[in-house]
Amino acid sequence: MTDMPHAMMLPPRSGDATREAYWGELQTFLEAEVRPGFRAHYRDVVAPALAADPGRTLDWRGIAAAMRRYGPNRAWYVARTEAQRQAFDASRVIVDGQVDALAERAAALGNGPATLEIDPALPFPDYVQQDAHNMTGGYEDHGQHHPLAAGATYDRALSIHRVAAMGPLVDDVGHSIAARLTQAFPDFAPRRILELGCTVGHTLLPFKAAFPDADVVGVDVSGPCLAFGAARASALETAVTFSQRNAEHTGYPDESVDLVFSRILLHETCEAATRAVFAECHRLLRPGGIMFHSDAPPFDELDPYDQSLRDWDIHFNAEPFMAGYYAMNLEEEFDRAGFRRDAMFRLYAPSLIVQRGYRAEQTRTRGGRYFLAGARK
Amino acid sequence: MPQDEPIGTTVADRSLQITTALSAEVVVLRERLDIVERLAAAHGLFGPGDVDAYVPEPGVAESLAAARRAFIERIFGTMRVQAPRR
Repeated sequence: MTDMPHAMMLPPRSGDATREAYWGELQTFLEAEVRPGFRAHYRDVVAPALAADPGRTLDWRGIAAAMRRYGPNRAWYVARTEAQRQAFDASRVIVDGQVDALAERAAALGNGPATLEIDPALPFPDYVQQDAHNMTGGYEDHGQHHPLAAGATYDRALSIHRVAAMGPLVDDVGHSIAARLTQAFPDFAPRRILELGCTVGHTLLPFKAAFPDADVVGVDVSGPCLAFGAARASALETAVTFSQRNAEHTGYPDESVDLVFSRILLHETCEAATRAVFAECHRLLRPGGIMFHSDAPPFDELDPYDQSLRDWDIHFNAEPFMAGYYAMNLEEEFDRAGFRRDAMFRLYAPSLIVQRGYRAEQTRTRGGRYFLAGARK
Repeated sequence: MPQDEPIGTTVADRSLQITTALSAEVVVLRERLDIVERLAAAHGLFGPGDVDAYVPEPGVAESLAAARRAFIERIFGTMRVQAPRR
């Protein structure tokens, strides 16, 4: 990448850039060109063996256990885990060499259109994995505590490692979902939009673009991610607010929000927190407001083999609650939070970047589309 | 049996971790050399073709071979088995 996508990303030394790009390319190769070939072993060996064994059922855990014994898949687990850790470390090394320059730029952008509200006293939830998805230090940068580095690393990692997936601004998700939402709800004109667990704002900014007259706010528990996100949004001249709050209890008034959503947040929490988030969404929404939560499709959308693919994330990529979250009955949970069944929906948002010609397999989305489930109050 | 061991714990697993990590360093080195050759060509010094066509003079060839032999000794020397003590 010769041009940086925004002013809060700085060009690294060429060798560091090569290493960073390489780990992303290897991850893509392992996911898109190696793993899909293992389904044949499931079809021809594992499925018949499980079907013939009266003591075992054809569920995703049984499939995953059997697939772990398949040599090529075992090798994939090892290489994929190493590549994931190395990819984040490669980005962090670059950020560590640039922290002073990044801090200077963030300070210069401090009066920019984006607003930052930090609450250092906000407790960091203990259900968030310390090294979530093998990013050393995790979202709160435990052990190092730099005010920006965790956010800068996360931004580089998703922009570089997944540049074919979500664009250099990692905004394909936001644009694609906003487009699908306005298609499904053409009368919907939110005045206040809230994203829960916004991290650095990759998905948040497209919603300001889609609804330019709305107040757009993102909350997160991570100070470094919010601080970086605000500087990044100012660099991109986008007037959004980043506020350090816990999605379970944001502190915003009842019925003060028209659109509340999350993207790949809930699988990183826990059952109690997820239920609290759904209840908080119901409390926050005005009548007619919309809640949605986007993540990988829940298990009830997938065949057992595709469910079993999550075994790697759960046991080797520090995503233990995926097992719980993807098994939740979302509609039952939305009902428990107070939403009406006849106002619930599940949607798939086609990836706009894939429609423009990118290979769906490289984007690592399911056939080039994003899943979301929600309800209208 | 090896496939019953938890993933990541066997010697083979650890070897694969190491070789995977090492693969990045090979790529980084090769690309840096590629860049050096491109810059040298851009500055009118020499190009990749000069490197491809290079034939070392006898003294240099011996020196390169000695370096290769030393590398083999350092990296693979431990493959020798000790003669049994009597």
